[in-house]
Amino acid sequence: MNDCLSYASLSDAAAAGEPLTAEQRLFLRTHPTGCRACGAEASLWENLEQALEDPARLTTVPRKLEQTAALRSGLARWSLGRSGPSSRRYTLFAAGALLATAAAAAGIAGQSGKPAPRDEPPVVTVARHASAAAIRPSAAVAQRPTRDDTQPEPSRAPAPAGGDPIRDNSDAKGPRPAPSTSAAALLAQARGLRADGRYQEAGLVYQRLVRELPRTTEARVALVSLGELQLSQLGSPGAAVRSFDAYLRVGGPLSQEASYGRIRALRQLGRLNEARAASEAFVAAYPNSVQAATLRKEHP
Amino acid sequence: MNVPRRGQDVSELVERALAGNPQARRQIVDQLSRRVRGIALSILGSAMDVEDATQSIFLELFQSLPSFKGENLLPWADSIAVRTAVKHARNRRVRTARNASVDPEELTSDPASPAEHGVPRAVIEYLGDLPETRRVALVLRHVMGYSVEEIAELTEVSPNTVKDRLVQAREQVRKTLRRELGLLPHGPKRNHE
Repeated sequence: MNDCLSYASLSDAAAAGEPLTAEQRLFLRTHPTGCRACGAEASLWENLEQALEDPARLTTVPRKLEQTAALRSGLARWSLGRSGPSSRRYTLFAAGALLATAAAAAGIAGQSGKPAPRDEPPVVTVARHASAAAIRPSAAVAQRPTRDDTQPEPSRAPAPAGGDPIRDNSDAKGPRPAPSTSAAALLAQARGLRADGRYQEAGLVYQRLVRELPRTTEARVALVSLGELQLSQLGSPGAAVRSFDAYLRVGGPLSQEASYGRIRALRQLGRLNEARAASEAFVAAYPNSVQAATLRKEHP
Repeated sequence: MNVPRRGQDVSELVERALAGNPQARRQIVDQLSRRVRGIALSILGSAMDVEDATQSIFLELFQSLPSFKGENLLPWADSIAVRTAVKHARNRRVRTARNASVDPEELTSDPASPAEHGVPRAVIEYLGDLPETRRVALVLRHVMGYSVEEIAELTEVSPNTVKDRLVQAREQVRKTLRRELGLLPHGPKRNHE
């Protein structure tokens, strides 16, 4: 049976929790080091397995995959540029050189990776992060009154410059909610409208939530969602800045998103000096974030 | 940033957060933020819905904080993040299917994304090519390290269905990779390879 077929079959079996013999586990560890295709695949699974500790692994190309693609690309270029027996010898020579280089690089990369586990197939290195009991929906999650400890006292919140995110689009009136409409229900409604592409209506519901239930956590969250909607779908970067500012005046779990959204909105408004200053502050505050990496590339 | 290491530190942090201390809440968010986003991104398969899912996760986390019992926030947060993100993915799938009149089991997160590029892509893009159900199974297995039985419980299907989804997901990723690399498909060895 073809070795790659065996590798695919065994690695799938391991992923599905089937037991393997020691010989099979050894094959799973060793075959990818000598096979470009399976090595590239193994590097992708490895990135996935490390993504919990290092989420950047999700947004990068696995190194071995990149090397394999580069090797393939190099081979294709050589073979297209020449013809005839002498070119075939040249092609083979060049391919051999590339293979040797890639193998050396892969060997070095392999040494720096984590050691293969002895008792488990390498394709599924189970790093347990929760017990089975823990993943059952918790019956103990009670419906608690929402804490509004992140809410500012109204008298301390300065008036937003240039307008109020709550009063934007006020000329497009919507129906007033029933008094018993909960913050959670409004937030869910807004999200549903947004998912359906009904952005204007979604914006109105977010604004209603912020206006009528300002002390709830959902209203705080809605400010960021509203800002994102105004920036990306409604074409109102000015309103987006006001929404993000309203959130950032107090701050909270979504300060990172709100700060990044504010930078993008400032750029759209052409307020480039402010955007640059905000970018520098963002990178200082969230140096390991994916957005910081993007901002550093844009402003080295 | 101070990250609580011992059980007592974690208990104190949680108590202060429950008492409404904003610094304590901020510390919890900072400790969990990157991980929670990574979980949401991997399960949802695209950056588009990560913000919404992350919001939902943190809402759920702080609502569940009174019931936290343990010495380490991470496993507790992981289970809430996974449950919430899986629910988010399911709701998105149902909404999209309702609008598009297609089988929700077959939906990908981005149906327009091309499968063949000829250049290697980031891991998240291979995940994004997968139908929702397969991607969730793959992520729960490879990223979160859950067993087949735990995945079955989380996704409310049988263990055999989970195994099928895992194998199908891996096969789909494998084929896409090989196509993009221009490698020959599986089969008997050929002399010129």
